[in-house]
Order: sequence, then structure tokens, then C-alpha cells
Amino acid sequence: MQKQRYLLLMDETGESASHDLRNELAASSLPVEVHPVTLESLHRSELTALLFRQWIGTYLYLLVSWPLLEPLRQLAEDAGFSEQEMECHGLGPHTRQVFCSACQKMNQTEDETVISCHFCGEELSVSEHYSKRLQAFLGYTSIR
Amino acid sequence: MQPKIHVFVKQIIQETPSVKRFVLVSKEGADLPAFSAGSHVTTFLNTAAGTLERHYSLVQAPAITDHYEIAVQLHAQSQGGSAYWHHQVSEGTELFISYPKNHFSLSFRAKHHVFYAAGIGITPFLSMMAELVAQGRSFELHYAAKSREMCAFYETLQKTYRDSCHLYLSADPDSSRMRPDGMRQQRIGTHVYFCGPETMVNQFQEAARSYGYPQQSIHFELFAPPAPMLREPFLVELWQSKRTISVGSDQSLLAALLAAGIKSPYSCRVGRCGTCAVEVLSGEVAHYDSVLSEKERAAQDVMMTCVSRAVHNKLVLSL
Repeated sequence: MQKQRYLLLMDETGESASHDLRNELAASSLPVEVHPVTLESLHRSELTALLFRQWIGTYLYLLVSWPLLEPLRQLAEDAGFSEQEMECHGLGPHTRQVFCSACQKMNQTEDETVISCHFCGEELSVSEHYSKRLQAFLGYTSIR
Repeated sequence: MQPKIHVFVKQIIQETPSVKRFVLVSKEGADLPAFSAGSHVTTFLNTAAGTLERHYSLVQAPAITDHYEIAVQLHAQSQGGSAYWHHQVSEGTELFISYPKNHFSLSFRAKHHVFYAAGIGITPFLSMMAELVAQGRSFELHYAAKSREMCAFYETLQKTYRDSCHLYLSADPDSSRMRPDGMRQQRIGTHVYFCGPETMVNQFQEAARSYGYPQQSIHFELFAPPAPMLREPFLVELWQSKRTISVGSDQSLLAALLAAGIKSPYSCRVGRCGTCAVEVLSGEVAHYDSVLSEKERAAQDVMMTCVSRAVHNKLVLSL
């Protein structure tokens, strides 16, 4: 898309991590708006209003800690931002969900590549296959 | 062969001096298949020159299925389709139509829909607006016509969509022109839709891209295939059929294949739906479709036979 302006939302962790990006955006000839966000501000109407009043051509960057990323991305999507109009960066420690293909329950993991399902004990290989609906990676069972 | 529906013309309404609306009812008396907003049907017209296939948008609300309505503009340079509808069809005429097809559907994700229609390009938007009203979703229509008299569906639009409808009358010196820059100040999540002549659709598409609309938020429908830049005759060698066919300068590759008895698939015939895609084994293709991405075009291994042609004198297809 032909970007017309940038909107950057970041939390405390995003502030240092976004240094290079902010320099890069500042060097472009397009307007850049930067707003801080916190877990608390997620539920304030100012943030919702900010996202909902954006015009076509706005490109959104989210640079926030992982727990904030998904609710913020969801809010941006509700406002009308599509995948082509935003870039999401999760920062800091990350827990991810792995869906067990044997018992179909959800496991919370960090960055392991092989886990034992907390529910059925099946050994799961964590794939790159991500479900947007479940917000989880698929855990493959090995065929014996 | 695609399945067809046997219908008859129940009523003809003169919308403007050059546009007639036809009410089609099933010959069997049953309800017609349900359709989604933006759908069209192919009509099969038995003319002296053979069967003509012409596509027309369904103009009624998608909730209505006891009949279909289409609107046909008589073209000065009609190649038979619109002239047939206007001069040969009367109330009671029987014909066959296809099941409804949709190459121009509404986005489920859009937060606001903006329609731009020129002339008879209004037709697909009629079912779309009816659907959006039923769903309580937001939209606006921009519609350019020559004059009040030549503006098809003027009364319906004024009565039903007065607050969402902006009319631009080119013969009226007091009326403003329909311009693309209204798309600039739209909220995030807006999708734009264009229907009209190729030049208008291209102009609005290009403007929408330059204002920052992502490609997925830009939708359009053309009445006719885009005019190819290259119109030279060429040869196609068909690898599976072990035949070589020549394509004339005034003929599409698809038309040449069908004329030679090759069962090549197709649907829209305007390079929009992708049904006619065939594998290209060698030769350079001049792509005129709006289905393939830049990357797919560059790969030169697939082409839409309804609009695309050879750059040089020969192509080898897997058909």
C-alpha cells in the first residue's frame, strides 16, 4: 500500500526497542504520530477513539510487550486496520499457546520446540502452523 | 456444460430511453436459486448468428428469489446482446440463464463501503445496497450519469437511499463531476468498489492505490474485457491435444479454442474470475487479466485465455 502517515503505539518495552524504527520514520517525509499505551489504557475510550478516527493511508506499528499485543491488535482490527495496514512486534518474554492435536487442548509454553501435553501426556512437536482463530501453534504428535 | 435455468420474461419496464429492466420468472414456477449481493447471471440468447452469452447483474434485493431482475442498456455499437434484449425480447419470451455467479462480492471485513458507478455500472450496487441496508451496515454511493432522464433507477435511489446517494450529471452545468478525491478522506477500514467503463475503473483504481488503499480493499467490475495493447494474430500449439490453432487479431484465444472444439473452461470472459486459467509451457504471454499477481505474471507459466495473448507469434499450452 501507498502509506500516507504513520501511527506508532508502544509501551515501555517498545520505547527502547523502537529507536531505529522511529529514526527511520522520522527520516521519511510522511507524518508520524507516536502514542504510549499500557495495559490500563487498553480499556480507555481515548485509545479506541484514536484508532477509530484514523484515515485510509495510515500505517500502524504496534511495539508492545507480548501480553499487550493481541488485545491491541484486536482493537486495531475492530477499528478497520487490515493485515496490510499494520505491523505487530511483540517484545520481552513470550508465552505461546500450543494446540494438542491428540486431545485438542491448549498448552501454554515458552520457546520449547518439543513438549509433553499437560493434559494427555502426548509428546508434541511445536510447528510453525499458526491458527489465527485459536491464536495457537499446532502441536504435532509423532507417528509411531 | 454449465446447468441452465429455463425462465420467461414476465415484465419489461422502460427505466430510461436506453435502459430496460426485465423481470424474469422460472418457467417451472419454482423459486429461483438464492444469490449473494453483487451477483450476475449469464443469459443465453438465441440469435440468427448463434447463441450469444451476455452477463447481467441481478438488481433486486438478494432476499427476493421468486423472480430475477436485470437491467440492460442499449449500446449504440451493440454486438447483438443489448440490441437483442431491446428489440427481440417481449413479455412472454422464454430463454435460458445460468445460475447466479459472483465475481464482485461485498467485503465482510469492511467498516464502510463506498461505491462508484458510471452509467449502467449502477446495476451491481443495487443488490449490494439492499443487502447493506438489511444488515444495518454503512455505505455511500457516487453515481455519474448524463442527465436526470438518462439516470437509470433515479426514483428508487432518491426514494430509498437519498441520504447515502450522490449524483453527478455530466450534461448539467450546475452538477459537479464525479472525482476520485472523495476517497481520500475515508476512515480506516473503508472498501471502495467501482463499476463502469474501463477508463473510469482504471482511473479510480489508480487513485485509490495512491491514497493508500490496500489492494484487498479495492474492488471493481468491468462490463467488457480490457482492450489489449497487442492485437496481432498468433499461433497456439496445444501439447495434449497435439494440435496447432491460429488466433486472429479480432479474436480472443478462448474464442479460437472454443471454435476449434477444444473444451477449455471459462466463465466471466473479462479476465476477472480465473476460471479459464491454462498452463503455459513456452512462449511469452501479454497478460490482460486482473486475477494474477505481478509475481504470477512474471512466472509466465499460466494465462487467462479470455483476455491474454502472445507477445510474439507463438505460445505452447498444456491443453
